[in-house]
Amino acid sequence: MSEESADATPRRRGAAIAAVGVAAVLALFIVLLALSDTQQTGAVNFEIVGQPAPDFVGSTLDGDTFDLRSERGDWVVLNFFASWCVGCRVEHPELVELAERHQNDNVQLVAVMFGDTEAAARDFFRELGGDWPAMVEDTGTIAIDYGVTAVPETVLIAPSGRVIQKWIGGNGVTADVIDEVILLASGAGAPTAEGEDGDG
Amino acid sequence: MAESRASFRDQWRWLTWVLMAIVAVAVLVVGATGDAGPQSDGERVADLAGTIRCPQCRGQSVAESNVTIAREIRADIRQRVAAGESDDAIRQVYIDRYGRSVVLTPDAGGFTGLVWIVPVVAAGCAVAAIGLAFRRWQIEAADVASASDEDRELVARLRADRNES
Repeated sequence: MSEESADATPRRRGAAIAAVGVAAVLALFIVLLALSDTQQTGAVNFEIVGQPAPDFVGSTLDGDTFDLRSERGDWVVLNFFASWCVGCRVEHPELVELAERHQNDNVQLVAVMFGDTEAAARDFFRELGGDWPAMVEDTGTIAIDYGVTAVPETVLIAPSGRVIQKWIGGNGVTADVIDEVILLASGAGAPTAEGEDGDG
Repeated sequence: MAESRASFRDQWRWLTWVLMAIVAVAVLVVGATGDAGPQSDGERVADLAGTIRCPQCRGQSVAESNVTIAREIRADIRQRVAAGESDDAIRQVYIDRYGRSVVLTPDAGGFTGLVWIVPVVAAGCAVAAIGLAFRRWQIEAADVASASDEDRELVARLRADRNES
């Protein structure tokens, strides 16, 4: 073996060790990325499901004061909406239907305006119907408290004050679906979650 | 005499490297942990908004995004800062509402802490490898440059021949 090749052998071994080290670091990064939370868009967020519903008090479109705590013992369908949101317009007739079905029982609809003006919200209800309380004060805080990312979003609160279900997007929310969940939850009481795309 | 001068030069060279390393580490430590003084409420809001991910967007903070929920969160941060809540408490509000992924900076502890540690270790290894490579090249260059007694004799003989002719 020549002197040069004898000198090159430990150098090659060093390069191999360095290559293995670099490969190990890369592999570690790949594992980290694979195991990390890859939720980049917040289109679906159900942290609130199963949790006690955050209380809120504020003015409604009619000038009354609504306090969620006073609704304990009733089912509350909390709907986040905006007049500019197409999905909200699509689902609204279903909410009107639900309100008509439950005029005389313990299901209460409440709307929360999201990124909109009071005048536009008033026009929205005048155009599409519905006479349930619509919150127009501190609505940003209420939306954040319920983990809203975009409208429409609808939250179902059980008589116990716990959030039972959240719907994201307007296509899945129908009077029948809400009634079905209320019926199921009345028997089993198990929180569930469903989601679709939202915001318009 | 020449030997002691060379030894002094070697020691001085090492000292400058050590001093440079101390200064670099000190600058990094001060830069990373130094207190830039009290922030105004506006600065705190901007800083916090820059660390909260817009829940509806892809890879944007609420400071950068202009969608409704980002605007609402910015307004909410402003209210909470004005109410005197701490930065950690404010971040925790959004973690509770939107999950851990709403914070753009990864946890410094636990498994995710590796995200911070691995690059530092990798950078340290790279610096050590470069240092070792420089050292080896220096030794190789010194070997090549050092002339043997035979070489010196040969050069002296050639010079003498040239002078004679």
